[in-house]
Amino acid sequence: MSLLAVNNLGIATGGQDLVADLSFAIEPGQRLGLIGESGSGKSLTAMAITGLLPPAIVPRGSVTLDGVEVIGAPERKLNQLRGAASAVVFQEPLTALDPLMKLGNQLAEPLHRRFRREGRDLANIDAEIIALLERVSLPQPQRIANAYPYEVSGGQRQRVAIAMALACRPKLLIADEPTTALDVTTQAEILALLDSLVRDLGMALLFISHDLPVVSTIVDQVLVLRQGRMVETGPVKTVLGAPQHQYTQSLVAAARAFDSALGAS
Amino acid sequence: MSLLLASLVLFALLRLLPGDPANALLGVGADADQIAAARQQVGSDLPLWQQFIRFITSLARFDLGTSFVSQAPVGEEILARLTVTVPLTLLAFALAIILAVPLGIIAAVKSHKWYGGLISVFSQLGIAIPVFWVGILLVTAFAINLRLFPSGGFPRQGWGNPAEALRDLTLPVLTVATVMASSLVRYVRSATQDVLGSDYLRTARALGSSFTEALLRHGVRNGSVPIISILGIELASTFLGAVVVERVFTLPGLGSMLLLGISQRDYPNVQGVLFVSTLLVLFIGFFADLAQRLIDPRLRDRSRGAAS
Amino acid sequence: MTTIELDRPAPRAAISWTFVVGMTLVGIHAAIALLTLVWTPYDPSSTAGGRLEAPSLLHWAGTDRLGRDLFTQIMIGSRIALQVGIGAVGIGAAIGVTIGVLAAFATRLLDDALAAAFDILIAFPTLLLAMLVVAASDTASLWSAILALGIALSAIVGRLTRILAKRVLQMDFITAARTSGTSWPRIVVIHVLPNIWPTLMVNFALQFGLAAIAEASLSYLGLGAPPPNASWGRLLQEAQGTVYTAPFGAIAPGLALLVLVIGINLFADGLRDVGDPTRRRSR
Repeated sequence: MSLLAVNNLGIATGGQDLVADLSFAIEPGQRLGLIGESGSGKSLTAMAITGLLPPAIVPRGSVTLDGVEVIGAPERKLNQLRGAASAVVFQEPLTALDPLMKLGNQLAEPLHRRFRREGRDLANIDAEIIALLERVSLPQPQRIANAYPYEVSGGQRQRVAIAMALACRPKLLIADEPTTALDVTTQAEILALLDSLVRDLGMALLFISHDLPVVSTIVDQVLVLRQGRMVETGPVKTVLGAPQHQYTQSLVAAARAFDSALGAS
Repeated sequence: MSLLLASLVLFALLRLLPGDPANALLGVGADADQIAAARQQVGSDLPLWQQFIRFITSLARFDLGTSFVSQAPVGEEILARLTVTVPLTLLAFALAIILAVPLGIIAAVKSHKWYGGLISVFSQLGIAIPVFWVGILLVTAFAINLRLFPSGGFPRQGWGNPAEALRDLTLPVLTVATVMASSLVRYVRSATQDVLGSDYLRTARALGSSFTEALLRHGVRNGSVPIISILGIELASTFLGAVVVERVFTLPGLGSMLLLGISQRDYPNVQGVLFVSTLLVLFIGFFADLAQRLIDPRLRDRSRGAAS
Repeated sequence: MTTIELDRPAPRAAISWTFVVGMTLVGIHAAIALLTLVWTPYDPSSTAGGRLEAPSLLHWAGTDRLGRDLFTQIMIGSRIALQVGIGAVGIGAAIGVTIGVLAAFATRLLDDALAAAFDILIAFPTLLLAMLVVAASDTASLWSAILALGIALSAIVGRLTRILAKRVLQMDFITAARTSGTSWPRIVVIHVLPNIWPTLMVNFALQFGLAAIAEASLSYLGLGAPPPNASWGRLLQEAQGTVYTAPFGAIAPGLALLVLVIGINLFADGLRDVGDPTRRRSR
């Protein structure tokens, strides 16, 4: 059975379809990239998968995450599912972290839940916090744990956000434009980190981005979304190497033109 | 520094009051020599800057002078009247917070339910109503129709009769709290909305935290930072605005002292009330600032950076 | 916020219902106020009615303790409230905008001093400042109340203007204008004022409501317009004296004030939605 199965997902607000007829699946350990321009409904899809759509935005169809139907599920059931089955890394690490709480304490929160779930001794949490911060290659983990979000750099914040997601030990990691807010060097580092973590921990990955080159480095399958509808899907090499749909072709061409412009200068 | 500036503003405002304060000492029909003598006594014959120096130095010694009318020391009179105004303000403040915080949060979280909308509508009504009208309506309902509470006054022996004093303060406190709560509800509601739309709340929930837990752990702290500064402003303005409610319920508080002082042109009384009010306002502002810094590390850092 | 990207066309700047309702409520008051200039149901000073009569077909809001028709007085109250609102906001705007713009352009020291003065002044409620200014004028009149409220409001307007103007002055197009040699007065007129105007207008509307409430409070305290000016605050103060025998007198003037202030606030809300193109409707 698939870890995540999305069937005929539709998302609407005020009678207007934002996403329609979307179906795909992710198997355990598999990596899928969701590509589309802003407004194509990729982030909405991620929110629908975790059952976190705002009240005014209504999903229909079916989303099965780790064997549980998400759409229409009661909040209590979703709370158990989130964290255990899936965890999310968001785009903007500055706002995604609580500005008034020390990073170590923020990291302790999901850890606490997992330790309770697994029946582990809560006394080990402090050691685990440091271990996690080391796992995401942060220098001086002790200092970072004692710092507030505004006291560390953007790249470091995103590493902490990743560590928080890891703290849940999710079967599926959802990364929603995790590198968009970062500068190019940091982007590459975070991508490499995500790549190695997903491999080492055997997680599945749903990687959402508008950036073709970024997506192609980290996933094996892609799904191209345009105005809430699937345009094309398949292995990265096929879709990006020989795009069938005109829209994908234009995306690929644009990315190439950009690359060559960069190379020429 | 701000205290010095405040007293300068105060001084300027007081000098705007027309007529020579010396006249207030004498009444009509005094001859020129008497006026000159009175001027000397009050100090209004001196140049303005000397008057200001005198004003500042006596304030610095907390010497507020004596009333022109009653010849009683202003400081003592103020202290006596603070025993009415301070409990009134603080009780109303506490009641307003107890009412407004849950209501504001409900209005934001349940904005799509009918009662969430109803709270918002009521808070809109509340800010459009003058305090004294609320007071009059409460008097009509509770003092005249239901005869539950007195319509005004305060026991002669003050807090020597605590049960009576509390009974007398009930309607005034309710009046102020109603008006204060309705404006607070709107601020709590908008602070809660900010929290509900925040990315950090979404992160917490995406990692398995329940809505209530996330709101308690992250929302309360983040939401309280803007609310605290509003609370400081509300507290200060309620304290200064006590003049109206004290008039409605004929309470012998600081506000009625100010009103009486203005109508009798009793300078030292007016000046003393304004000075003590300014001190309290600055004091409240200082504490609101302090509380915000305790909660928000970024504010602490900024001030540290400014100091060094 | 990055939460959700909705690439829908921005809703057109439709006139919101708050704007319409607010306009209507204020319009009713304005119409009544104009009407009182030519006609009132009774002569406002006529004491022909019975004393403290309850509302009836003859006297819609009853009569006061001298037998004057309350409905007539409340109608005149509309005129007074609007006069005070317009006058006070006008004065407050004239002083506040001038000083605020000056502060924004002034040297660091002067700007700091003005900003500190604004901060201290707005710590005092409008009513208290107005009380002091009224006390400073020898005789209480309608104009002294208007002037007092205007001066008290000018601190609020001044503070807002200064902040808004400084924000505009930091923008790139100001630098562009300066480098192309535009003079300061011209920059104020063609760049600063048009940019801060929408926000100021909304604020003026809100100040209008504040002024109406503050005027009623002043009158209630006996510091407002003296008789025969029938301010709602004075009507309420008189009604309070007879509230045991004739409680109805304490209702109608308050309702009139409530309707006016709510109207103004709704109007301001609508104005904000219409006037500010950068403000999108929240979810």
